[in-house]
Amino acid sequence: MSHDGIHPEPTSFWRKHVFSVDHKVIGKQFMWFGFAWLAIGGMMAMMIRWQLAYPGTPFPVLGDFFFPGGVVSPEQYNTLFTMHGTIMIFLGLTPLLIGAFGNFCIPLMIGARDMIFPLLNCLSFWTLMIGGAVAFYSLTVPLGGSEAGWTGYPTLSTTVGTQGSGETLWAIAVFIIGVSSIMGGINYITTIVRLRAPGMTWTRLPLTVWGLFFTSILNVLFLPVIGSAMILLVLDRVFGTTFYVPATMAEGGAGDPILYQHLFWIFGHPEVYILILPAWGYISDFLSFFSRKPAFGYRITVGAMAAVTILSAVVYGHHMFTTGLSPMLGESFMLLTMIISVPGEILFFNWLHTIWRGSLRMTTPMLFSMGVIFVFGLGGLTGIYLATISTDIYLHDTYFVVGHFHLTMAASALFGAFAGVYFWMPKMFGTVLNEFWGKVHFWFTAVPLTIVFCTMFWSGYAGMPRRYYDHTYVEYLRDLQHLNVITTHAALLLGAAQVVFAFNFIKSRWFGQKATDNPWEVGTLEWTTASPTPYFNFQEIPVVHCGPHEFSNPNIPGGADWIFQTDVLPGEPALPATHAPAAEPAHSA
Amino acid sequence: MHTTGSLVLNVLRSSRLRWIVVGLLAAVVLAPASSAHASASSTHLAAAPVLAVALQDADVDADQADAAPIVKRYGPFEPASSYGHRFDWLFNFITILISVSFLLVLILLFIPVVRDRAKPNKKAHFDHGSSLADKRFTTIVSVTVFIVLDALVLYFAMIDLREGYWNIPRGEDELAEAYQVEVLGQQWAWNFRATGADGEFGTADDIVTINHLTVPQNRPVVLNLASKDVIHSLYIPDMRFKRDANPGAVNEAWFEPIKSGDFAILCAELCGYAHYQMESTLTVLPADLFDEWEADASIMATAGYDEDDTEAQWAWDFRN
Ligand SMILES: [Cu+2]
Ligand SMILES: [Cu+2]
Ligand SMILES: [Cu+2]
Repeated sequence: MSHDGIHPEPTSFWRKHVFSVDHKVIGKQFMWFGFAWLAIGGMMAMMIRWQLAYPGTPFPVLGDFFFPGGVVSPEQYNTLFTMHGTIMIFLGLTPLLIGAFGNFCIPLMIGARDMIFPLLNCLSFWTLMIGGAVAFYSLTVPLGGSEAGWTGYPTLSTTVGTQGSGETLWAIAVFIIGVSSIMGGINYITTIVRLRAPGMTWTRLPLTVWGLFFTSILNVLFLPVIGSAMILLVLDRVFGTTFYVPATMAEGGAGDPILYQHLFWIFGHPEVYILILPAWGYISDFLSFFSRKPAFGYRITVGAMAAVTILSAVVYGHHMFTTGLSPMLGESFMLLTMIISVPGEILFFNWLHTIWRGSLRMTTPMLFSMGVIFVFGLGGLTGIYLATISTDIYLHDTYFVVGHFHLTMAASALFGAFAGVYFWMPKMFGTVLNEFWGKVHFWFTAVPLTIVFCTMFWSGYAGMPRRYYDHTYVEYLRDLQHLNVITTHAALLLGAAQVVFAFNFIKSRWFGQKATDNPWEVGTLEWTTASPTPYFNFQEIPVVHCGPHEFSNPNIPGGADWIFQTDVLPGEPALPATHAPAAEPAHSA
Repeated sequence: MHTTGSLVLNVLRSSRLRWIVVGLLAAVVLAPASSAHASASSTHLAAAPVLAVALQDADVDADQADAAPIVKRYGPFEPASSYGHRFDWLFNFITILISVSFLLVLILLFIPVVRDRAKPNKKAHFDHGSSLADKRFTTIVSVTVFIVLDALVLYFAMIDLREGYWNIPRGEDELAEAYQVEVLGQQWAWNFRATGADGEFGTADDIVTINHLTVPQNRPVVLNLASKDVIHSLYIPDMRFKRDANPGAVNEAWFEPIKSGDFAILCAELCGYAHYQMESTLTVLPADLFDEWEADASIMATAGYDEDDTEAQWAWDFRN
């Protein structure tokens, strides 16, 4: 097949590296963008933790640049945790997990030369860039950045609670970022449906692609909901409407602040799965790759992910148990939330079964994948306390919740992303990340991270509310201060471990050992092409003859324990091409 | 630099030394736990020299340490409400369930890590896990997990809700027996309003207090909560009680104190930069002392009543 019909290879610097329409370049752009914001959001976490352990003392070294006298003020503290949440979710993890790997891996793994809408892809990244710029700018306005929490509940987020343009800019930024995610989602879904190589049937897709597929569905369905919530908020703030301002207030509205909570969590709960589904997909593949065993119960895994995708839309009420939901609604949401643990548990069952009696290669991506089992196990199981209304009433809005959601949506997603970085590095940049420093990075991340969030469970259980500027102000919380100090020490160590990663990444990227075409010995399509990947990905559009996980299949000839998806397994007929979609429908039109 | 690097390298390569490093790591992190208080002792700073530099001239809340002895705590105080033990019981029950589950996950994770490492000439067991037996096994496991983990917890939670948290006194007789309080949150204080001796809201003897609520022991306290400005959340940890105070709507909730004494009231919902300062006090008095207090407070309230001060008349007309 020729290269005719796809966008021609650009020659100018701008078209090549900046406004590129090549999915690989865009994937890398998303990656750098995500790394930069993870660093900013992570630094904010350090400042938050410092203030909580040593309230009123100057933040070391950097404090003087950001805070008067080096000490975080209550207003700045609120901005810090608001922006920490917003940045980590929308500008750090989403671009890295979905933007970077979604873009880079989907076309390569399904055997396509690019995304189906290359220009939309480029637009998606630059829209996100604008969203990031607005979010960054919101920190610099005279009255300070947003202070209403990443959840931005009215009426605190309306002019009743926060003055100035910081909050407005925050809402606009979230809206723009949402638009970017929707563009990405549409592109991913259409690409996966339309551009699969001949023979790449739905049941031969790598689980990575399945994870990204379900995430994209959630993105397309639920980002519009938060988008509309943000529009109403901006209207309330700027144009004096009262969608969220009730009649009882001096401002004399006719709205309802609880409306926002419904809109926010209709989006907010699926957002957890938007971040976790790709990570589940990656590690489902990696656990199979590095155990040299097929992914156990492939169809059941896909079914469980589909079930989670559907259920995630109907459980959001568990965030509002103390808001004033009717008891019947509350009990329904409790039941539905509990049901989600069934597909969740099936995934664990399949992962553990995949590594059972395998031939384990304990590489860094494997360690991080097992790390996901550990942290998501801890985070998922503690979710039972919060799904149960009668225990949630006490634990809601305490550090228990903070520990829980960091383990599920932050730590698991981050570990999944790290596993992906270590795994796809050879294909993305043509070099290998140093394994030794990768393992140092893993252990110095995993151990402190577990301490950070487990001490949070403890302090939350003991009654420490979240979003407090200074716990020592409250008398009875003073005997819990030692827990805060432990958490902070562990968090600082966790932050330091990421410096190890940054050095390893930069050093390996430019001075690292050159990668072979298939260093991990796996069979998915991206490894059939060169490292780093050539411009049009594949010389010829590959024809797929088997699934992604035929490891240790006794029929593989020549003593190897793996074959490419393009290889024909002896004894099995090659799949007729009629089963596959047309190779390049849109491009050739 | 080179020698340091190779030293670290060797330490981490040797598997026995690896555990020493992990131990040291734990020691650094956990050091403050062994000192009496963050500021009362500086022993933990020796273990974390990076932090020590910044803390040298910072005398962290030394005056607070003088004011009250710091007790270390890892859990909540004993429940002080009639339904409080339900939380503690269910919390412990779930803890046992998930500890067993998590232990199982860890065992199933670590057995392959130790046993199934890649060795030359050793092939993995080939199994797609797609046979009917596998599907059956998966189904059995998930049904079991749902029944043991979820259905059981769900069952106990429903009982707790029906008999405890949602069993709000509502009937005429029940309300007469209960002590009714209206709660109005604002940035940044809790306003409380009780009926006073006449048992009616909106009269001259209504007891209106700020940041201090006094209630009788062993009588249900029925609270109606709302807010003047932003969302607040009335949090009484000892009573295992929490309910949002929303602007524009009234929330109903209850608890029955079974212990007398002073308890902390906090605000659990982010409500602005002084969110952490909405600390108030709940005083629970035994019946006889409470009646005395209520009579006195009503007299004082009547004496101080000013019909023109509409600001103070925030009793809600939804009752009429
Ligand atoms: Cu949720
Ligand atoms: Cu408040
Ligand atoms: Cu508050």
